Amino acid sequence: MPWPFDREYMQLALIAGLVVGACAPLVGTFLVQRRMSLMGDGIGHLAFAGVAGGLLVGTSPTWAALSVATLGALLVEQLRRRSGAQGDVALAVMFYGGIAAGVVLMGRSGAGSASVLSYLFGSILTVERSEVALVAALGLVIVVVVAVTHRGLFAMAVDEEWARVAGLPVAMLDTVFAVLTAVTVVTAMRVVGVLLVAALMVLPVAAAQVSAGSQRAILLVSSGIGMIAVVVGLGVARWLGLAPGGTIVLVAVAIFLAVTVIGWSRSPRHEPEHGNAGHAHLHGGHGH
Amino acid sequence: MVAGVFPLAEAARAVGSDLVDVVELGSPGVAPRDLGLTTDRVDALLDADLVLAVGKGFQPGVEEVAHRRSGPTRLVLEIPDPAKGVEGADTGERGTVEGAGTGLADDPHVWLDPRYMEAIVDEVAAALSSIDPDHESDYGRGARRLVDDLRMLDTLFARTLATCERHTIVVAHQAFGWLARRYGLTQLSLAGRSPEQEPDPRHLADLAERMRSEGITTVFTEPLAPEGVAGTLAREAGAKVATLDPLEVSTADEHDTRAGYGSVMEANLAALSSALGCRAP
Repeated sequence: MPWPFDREYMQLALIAGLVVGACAPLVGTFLVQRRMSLMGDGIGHLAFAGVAGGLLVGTSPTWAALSVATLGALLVEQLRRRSGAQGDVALAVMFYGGIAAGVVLMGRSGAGSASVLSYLFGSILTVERSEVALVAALGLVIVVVVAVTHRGLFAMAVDEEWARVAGLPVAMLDTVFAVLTAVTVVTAMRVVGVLLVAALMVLPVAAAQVSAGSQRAILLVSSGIGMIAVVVGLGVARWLGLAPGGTIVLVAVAIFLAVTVIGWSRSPRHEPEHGNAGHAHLHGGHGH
Repeated sequence: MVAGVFPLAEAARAVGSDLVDVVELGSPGVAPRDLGLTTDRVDALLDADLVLAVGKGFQPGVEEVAHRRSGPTRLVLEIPDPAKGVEGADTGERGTVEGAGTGLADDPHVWLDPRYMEAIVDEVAAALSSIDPDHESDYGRGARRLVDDLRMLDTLFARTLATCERHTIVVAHQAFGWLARRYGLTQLSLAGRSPEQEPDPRHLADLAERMRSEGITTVFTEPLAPEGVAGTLAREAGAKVATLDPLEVSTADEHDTRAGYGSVMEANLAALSSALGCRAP
């Protein structure tokens, strides 16, 4: 392959990155709609506690991370539901509970943070062939699950009461989605790092929401934006010698900003200063 | 060739002199564990004729990339401990290490023992000679010169530290186990293996108590770490804070003044000497 993908490690990074770039926004779309954009990072914090706990009791740190993250994701969903619309508070409980439990367990087990971190964070430059296969399998699972459940998940995101009355299996869909989110984050963060997964769940979706109309279009456009960010980010990182995970995320941020600014200039009614307040108003009116 | 941490780069530069182009992965002032992989660094690691790294997950990213090289890689922690299995050698096993959970096996800072550093230098010379046999004698000469310096340093440490009133050092994290073992010191550490770990209050109180009763005057921190809890412990125990450099990386200052392994170790000895009340020779 031509530069910058002339070396094997760059090709492996590209494949793994493209899968994550395409699939993370599929999961992220529903997180953004539930106002749980920071869920990916929250799960990262829980996985930290899981690994530390696993090292302490002597079970496989990977499985411990996966189970703690899944349980936590389910719990946060319950917290959010029972305490009304305060998704951010539920997330805060998850963030701080996770990081505190991790610190305490790590101190108790006497394991250095280096050994804990080595279970948690990969770098997209150290992806191996077997990990590419793992990520590809994960991507396939995400595509299948989202293809089957996206109607129900969209309906729930718009109006959960209506979804319930219409006979959708709300509790089941919630559980499936929470498990999918946890598995996606924990698996992908070990391969490419938590920053990249968590950010690619949200930023492409945010950009797609500005331009795309239908919900299905948001899924497809955000997936495309995710892949563009990966290709451009890896290229720029190689060109300038930058940390690739961060560069990819910065490209995604730049795309979001560009799309947003273009959006303003196209609809002069939404002036930058008043745009947000107007939106909040509209949404508030809608709910009542 | 590429070296993972500062002291290994030092060894390589001394052995190879101007025959070898040494790339040090760390940047001045950045702790090696925090080292972010960039494509430049991966390229350098993959393309080098020889890679010299610490091993045992000290720099997980570096080791993972080095694993995929086709060329030779030397992991320093896989070089056998020179003090073991040598008939009649002074093994220096008088020193002990106490602290949270981990022992010498988990301490990667083997280069703080000048005798271990000697073994590293020999290994570097052997590795370079097998890649580039034409210059074997040059590498041998470079190695011998450095080994002579190391022997002198070792003698200086041994003589000075034999004259001390106290033999216990209190350090921020367990980085000086090899140094302590070599010269019969006891290392008490505030935290565990990682500099960023937070010590628990009970351990802090026990340590302060012990420092008072044994008359320990100094808590050692590292150049790259913030003073943090070490300052608290020093205030609690009526001691002062001083710097002991584990040589993980050249600090920006050392980089500017081109201070090498020898001069940093001499500064370490001066700090130890004043903390332990040694009658310097």
